Amino acid sequence: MDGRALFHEPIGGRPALAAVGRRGVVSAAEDRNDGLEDGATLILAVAAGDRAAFALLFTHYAPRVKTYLLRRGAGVQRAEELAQEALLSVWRKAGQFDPLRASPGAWIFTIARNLGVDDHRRARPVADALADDPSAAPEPPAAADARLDAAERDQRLREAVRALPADQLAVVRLSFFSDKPHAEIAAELGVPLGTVKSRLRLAFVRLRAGLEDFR
Amino acid sequence: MTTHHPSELTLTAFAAGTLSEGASHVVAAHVVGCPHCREVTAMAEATGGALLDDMPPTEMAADALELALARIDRPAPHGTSAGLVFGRRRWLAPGVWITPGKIAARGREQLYRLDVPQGRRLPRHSHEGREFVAVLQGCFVDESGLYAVGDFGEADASDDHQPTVQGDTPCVCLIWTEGPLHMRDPIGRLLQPWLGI
Repeated sequence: MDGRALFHEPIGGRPALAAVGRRGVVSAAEDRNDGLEDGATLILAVAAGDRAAFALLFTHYAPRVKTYLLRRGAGVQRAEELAQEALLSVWRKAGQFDPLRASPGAWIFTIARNLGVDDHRRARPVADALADDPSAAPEPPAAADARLDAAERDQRLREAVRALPADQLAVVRLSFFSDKPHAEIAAELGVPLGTVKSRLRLAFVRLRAGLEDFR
Repeated sequence: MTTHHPSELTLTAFAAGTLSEGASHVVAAHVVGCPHCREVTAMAEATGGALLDDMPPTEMAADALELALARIDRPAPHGTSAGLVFGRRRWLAPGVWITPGKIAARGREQLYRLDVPQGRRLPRHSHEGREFVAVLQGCFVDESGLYAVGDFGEADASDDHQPTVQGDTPCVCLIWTEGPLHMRDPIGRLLQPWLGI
């Protein structure tokens, strides 16, 4: 399929989007914050070279990755370039995505994070050391049922994050989007360092509890 | 059996990509071999994914998708340098060697590999800022317990310790310090300018 031709046509609901499975066709217009519906299926389609699926992922995730990079302190122009680069990495690395290991959002997050880190220090991100671990290699494609379980797990985690008490969510957010030392995070929130630590610990307890049945 | 792990705060910062390069190398050295911390890291990354899904979108340039589709078949840009690169090792004392890691340092932080022979007691010291230690070989003991292969030590400015190498092999650690050490005894203070740590 010619990417340029595709760009000039409406994408949503294209019957040619063969990879969109049992959960129906995804509308490109959707931008609910529930993750992209069936993002995992789209990434697997991208792994098979489906440009229409890539266009849907791009439309949904590039603007969110851009926001993430802006919050990490990238300039507007750099955030745009890195968001481009992140989604191109999604195209190149789609074959490594394993929906049982990570949600589409988590997988794309790690790609964006590594680019952000790399851009910051111009060196190889540490997380690549983990990717070399043989036990981290992708497993065979998941059965549909297991995939639905994974999608439910991802949804539960999103809900658990949203349900965090405001003080815990603030600590989680600051931990993710500022590279300030924890002592400065504590100062910013006007609480002792020990409180920052205990809030983060409590947040993780809640997030784990939200996933209890999936362990 | 690993008994000392990084704090959840440290693992979250590691997963979030907000640790400095030197600090993340030491955390990575531990996490690679520790199923528990890999699980915590994966959990933190999943949380990052959920936060990303909840991000308000920022509009991309009008031709962003078109550009991406045009670039899609180009080969990937060649990767950056691989892994951690070490400089030349320096002799510190009989059997004691320090090998600096090459990092883009923030402030006065340092990353180095330290080889210390069995039975050796290091000078008592505290730190300016945090210190992360991953034990790569052998073991040492200090006031907070025994650290064996795979263990991770996390100290801050309020900790004052004197590690002693135990067992019958030399102890090798990957160490990151946020700021200089403060030696607590006269010999250590005398040697410090020369130690360079």
